[in-house]
Amino acid sequence: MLLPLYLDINPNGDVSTTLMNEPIEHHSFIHPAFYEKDLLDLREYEGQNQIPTITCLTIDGETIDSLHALGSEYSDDYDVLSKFHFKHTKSIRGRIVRSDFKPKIVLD
Amino acid sequence: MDYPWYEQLPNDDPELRQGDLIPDCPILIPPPQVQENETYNIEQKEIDSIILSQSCDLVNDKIEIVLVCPYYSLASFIEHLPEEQKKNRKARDKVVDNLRKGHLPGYHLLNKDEKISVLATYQVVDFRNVYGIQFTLLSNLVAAMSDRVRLLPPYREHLSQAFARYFMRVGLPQDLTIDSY
Repeated sequence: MLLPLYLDINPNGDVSTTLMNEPIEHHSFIHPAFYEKDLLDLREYEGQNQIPTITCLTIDGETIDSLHALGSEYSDDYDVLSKFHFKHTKSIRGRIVRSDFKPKIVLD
Repeated sequence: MDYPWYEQLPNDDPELRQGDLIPDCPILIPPPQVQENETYNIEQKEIDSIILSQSCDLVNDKIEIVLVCPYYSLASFIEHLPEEQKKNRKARDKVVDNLRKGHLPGYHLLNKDEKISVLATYQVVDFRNVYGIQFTLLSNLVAAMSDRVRLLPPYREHLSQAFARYFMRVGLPQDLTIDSY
């Protein structure tokens, strides 16, 4: 997940800065993320024992006027095109015979 | 609860259903210009196909042309991507993850089944290339097969929904922005 936000990360699960109402700077650090400049990817912190508790999230004061910068995880991607190839090809001889295509009318 | 993706059908089951996998399905490509009663070299190409037409239409004899789409291995899908989209492991992983999540509307991922030889690897259905096959031709193909594989619910309905979603998309001239509410 990509988020434009400031993140206080408190690695000490026994101490909550929110409850103590006092930042414990030596246990926390701020990772500033500015919208359109740097999006914070929380996945980078998974499994690193750095986020037992996210104690403070502050969304940057800038207005989010578009969702496109949140990354392709949230939107369809029409730019991925895998070039199609037929499995096999062979040549046959055929005589063209013209006829009208008249499928039956079916009323469901 | 177990939800298998596929079942293998015996030869004596002739009914066509949505989600039936028909390998080596012939696609005839005539020359660009033809004259009536003339004889030409006609290209017969083959695809491994999956039926997209609704089962009720097939069973009740309501259609003469059956819609099919090609499917191929995930490895082949990745191999034929533009270089930029497969240049490294991270790029390929991103494409595969978006495919898995349904964020590539032109394609649909099918699970592998190592018990079925033709489905030993993951497969990708290509909605961008749709073909119409004569019902009788397809029925004859199926009759000649020793057995065939059928995609089961709810994966079959998921495929059908994804197919519909690809064709019902609407591109707006510009994005909507909300300045206040």
